[in-house]
Amino acid sequence: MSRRNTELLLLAVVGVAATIAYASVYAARFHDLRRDSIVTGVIFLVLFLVIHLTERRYLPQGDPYLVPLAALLSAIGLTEIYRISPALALKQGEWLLIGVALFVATVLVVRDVGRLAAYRYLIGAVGLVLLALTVVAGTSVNGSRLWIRVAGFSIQPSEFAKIAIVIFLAGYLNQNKEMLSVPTARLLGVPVPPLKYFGPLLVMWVLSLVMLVFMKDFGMSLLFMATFIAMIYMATARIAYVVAGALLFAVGAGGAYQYVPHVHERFAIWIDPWKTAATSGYQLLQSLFAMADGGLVGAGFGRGYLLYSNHVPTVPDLQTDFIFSAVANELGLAGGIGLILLYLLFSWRGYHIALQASDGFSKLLAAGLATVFGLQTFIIIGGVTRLIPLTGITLPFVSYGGSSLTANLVLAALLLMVSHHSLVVEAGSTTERLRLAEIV
Amino acid sequence: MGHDARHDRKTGSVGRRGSAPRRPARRAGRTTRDAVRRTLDGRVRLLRIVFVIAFLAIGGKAIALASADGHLAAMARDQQVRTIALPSQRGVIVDRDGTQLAVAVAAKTVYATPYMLDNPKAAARRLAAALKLKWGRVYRAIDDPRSGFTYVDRQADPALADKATALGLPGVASYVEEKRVYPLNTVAAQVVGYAGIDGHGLAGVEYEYDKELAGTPGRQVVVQDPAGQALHVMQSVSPKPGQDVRLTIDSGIQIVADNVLAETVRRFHAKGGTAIVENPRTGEIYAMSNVPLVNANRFGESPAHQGNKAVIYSYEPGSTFKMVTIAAALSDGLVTPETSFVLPPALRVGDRVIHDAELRGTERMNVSQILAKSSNIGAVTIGWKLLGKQRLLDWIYRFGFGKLTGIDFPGEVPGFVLPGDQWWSSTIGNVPMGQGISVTPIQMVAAYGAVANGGVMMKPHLTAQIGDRVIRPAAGRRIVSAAVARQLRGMLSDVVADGTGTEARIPGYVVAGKTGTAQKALPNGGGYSKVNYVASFIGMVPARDPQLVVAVVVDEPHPYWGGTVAAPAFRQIAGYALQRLEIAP
Repeated sequence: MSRRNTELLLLAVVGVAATIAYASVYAARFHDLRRDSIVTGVIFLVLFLVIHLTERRYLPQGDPYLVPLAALLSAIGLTEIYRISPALALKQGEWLLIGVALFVATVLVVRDVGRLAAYRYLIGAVGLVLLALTVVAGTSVNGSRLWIRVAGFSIQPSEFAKIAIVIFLAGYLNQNKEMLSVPTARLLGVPVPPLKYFGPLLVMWVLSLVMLVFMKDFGMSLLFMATFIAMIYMATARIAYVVAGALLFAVGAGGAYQYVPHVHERFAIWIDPWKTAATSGYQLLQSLFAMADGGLVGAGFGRGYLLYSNHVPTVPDLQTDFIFSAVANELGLAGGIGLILLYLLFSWRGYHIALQASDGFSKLLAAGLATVFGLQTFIIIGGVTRLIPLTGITLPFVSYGGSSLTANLVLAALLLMVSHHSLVVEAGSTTERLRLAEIV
Repeated sequence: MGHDARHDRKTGSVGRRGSAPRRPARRAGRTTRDAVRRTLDGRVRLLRIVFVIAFLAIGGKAIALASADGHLAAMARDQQVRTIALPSQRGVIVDRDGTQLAVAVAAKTVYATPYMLDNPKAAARRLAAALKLKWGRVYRAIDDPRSGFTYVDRQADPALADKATALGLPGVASYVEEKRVYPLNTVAAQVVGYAGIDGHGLAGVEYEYDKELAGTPGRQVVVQDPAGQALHVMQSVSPKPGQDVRLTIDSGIQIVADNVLAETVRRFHAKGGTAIVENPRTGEIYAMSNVPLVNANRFGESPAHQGNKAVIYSYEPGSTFKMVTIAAALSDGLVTPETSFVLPPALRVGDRVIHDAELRGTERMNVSQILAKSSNIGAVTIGWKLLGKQRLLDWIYRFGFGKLTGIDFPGEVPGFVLPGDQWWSSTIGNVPMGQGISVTPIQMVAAYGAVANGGVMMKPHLTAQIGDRVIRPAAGRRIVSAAVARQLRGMLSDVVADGTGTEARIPGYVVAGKTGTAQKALPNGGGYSKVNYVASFIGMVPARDPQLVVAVVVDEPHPYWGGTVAAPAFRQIAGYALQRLEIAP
């Protein structure tokens, strides 16, 4: 079976699953069913069909699993959001439309991911500007300054910035990996590369600190820094970067813990949420309760106890940061583990694409994207399960939020392009390459 | 987009990718590139493994959360769904005319979740101001950062409680609770008893009829947040209010009895006393006084005086008991009121020598005179010589002594009648005159009530109505014949007319009654006290067809004569009751 037919088959399976999930919510709350739900369902299927057709046309050799995984995750997300608030689900549906448009636009405009390497500094600058915008013009929500408002839309630029930074790092590190790998000086007896190549490390560190201190966004800060460390390690094979990066981040985080109350509080909640069970620890405890309440298989979509009678979610921010708790409540432990497995599969495919990639930039890009995606998932699920301190960050594809959804669709598009391209390049003869490229 | 262009770009891109810095590597050929890729691939694989482990960790954490002995899940349900008892309104207790003796008023209990308060000191200051409490008391209650619950003020004035909760302090809330209030304070306090702070009857009528008064609480299954705010009512069962209890007590007579008795106790420096006003025809109790008085609203402050002595106090009755001895002899046809006896100044019975209260020589007295002068030697002579132990005991039991009267009041005691096989040689010289036997005031009232009611004893009772159910007097029990009862009333009216009970005379009415001045047994069992007496008077009025039986029992008065201490109290209480009930002479 060709890659695209495999994908179509999987998408059909996802379509059936999504319909069942919707029907479950529908049955559970038929009393306030609106036409929205059906409309949202139809929109959902049509949109992923658009993505599929785009792939057939332009990326026939793209990985066949990424889009069905994204579709399944989005379906779970939309269902859960619809279950929490039909109005929000409709908005998320609109965002999905925009995300699909961005997916198609990315494929059409970029065409060849290799071209991105040439624009690495421009793209990196765009990433920085996006973050700077947040610091300057951002609005605070829950103590973190993460959003900017553009034409009535709340946009979370860091979601796009993370992709831009990964592209930049892939390009930069691919270009300079030899220099970065060769120690020419010693600092405190430790061999270090020349200082000028150390620059980016410091820049990234400062960036993560800025996010911590000015945006009070520990999650994004950790995401950026960890992605950077992973990527520079992959590029240079030097464990010293990992150690130095981790130490620097620890210092920054330690400072923030001391001087940024918001960060301090997050740690305190992580250590003992019971101490502040009714105030700052409330949200996390409600999340733990919700997950524990789900049991092994949960009550089913739309049947969990997630909303009070006044439609207020039992867990604050249920539809965004805590969507995992909602799913784990309604689908139980099985659903939660299933969701984690879906993310693991997505990341796995990302690394798989990196391994298949034909050149260093593509490898680093794919591995970087897989890393940033997997890390974000780990940070938020780890947070809501109290494995690590909780930081507000979206769960890719599932959380309510336009920026996250669209940015992750762009991320998927980039991975698919790397995947398609590597297969085409690897296919030996020009004729074969052309044959593969032409498959529609 | 054209096919050629795409093709061009593909091929062109290879060159662009390998731009400036990588040119040397490119010249080295595929081998170097493969080597770089291999090592890079190795690191990608390593990172992939790291992620698999990380995801395993969150998966493991999720499993841990879901299992955790169901501990978290239980907490989740606990905090979310809660069953709240909806208190039923407790019934009121009223007197026979509907005067309220115990009522339930709405109150609010203010509580706090101390660990939620950031600054307990400031919170205590504000709460104390709102609730008009002492700062220190509030502070002590809420100053525990680990506590999840404390009362700030129980059953507070709802207005003040609302002020306190309106302060918006985290974790401070209130719930509606009933507060039991006794509007008449001391009046019939020991009879009405009291309900504790949790609304359950702990003494008296409140205890006896707790089930009826309490009603059936309702319940509400609500979903609430941890702050206790109900967000959604899932199920609601309305409470069934408690039934009202109407007593036979007449608060007017009760108040007079309370006052008279309290004054008597005060004037004669007594330890305390009890007075009972009964309708002998029905057994209804009009008043049941206990001194020292207690305030029902502060019942807990005087635990020693909470008891209703009328039913729980057993004492040696003394001369009032001679009525029983004589009733027995009359009923058995051994004597008539005119049967006369030659009585020596002293009588030896077993190891004991009996005297009369007044020293006298050998005298001839008939039965009526024996009663009127309260002659010990006369009573003992009748009991010992004529009745004998067994017949006397039979009559004692028949009058209900040694047994509960069955009054609808908790904690009644039966007194004590020494069983026949345990009598000493001198016992027969004691019991006929009311010593060596212990009785309760209510038993005496029941016994005299039988005499008053043509020989038929009615069961004394305090409750006239519970909810819609009117309590009818139980069928009476005949003790003596109507003729004997009439003879006894005649003799007892002589006691008041020109015997020991002249102080009990009520102008315009013929009063029949008997005084009692009983030595109290020493606590160590070694005989009787020479200073401590129980002075009593039990009488009925009007003597021809009595409508009232009144007993006054005073513990350790000084002087101790029943005729001096208790008879005047009888006169005042009965006198008032006659007017109050508009009883014709």
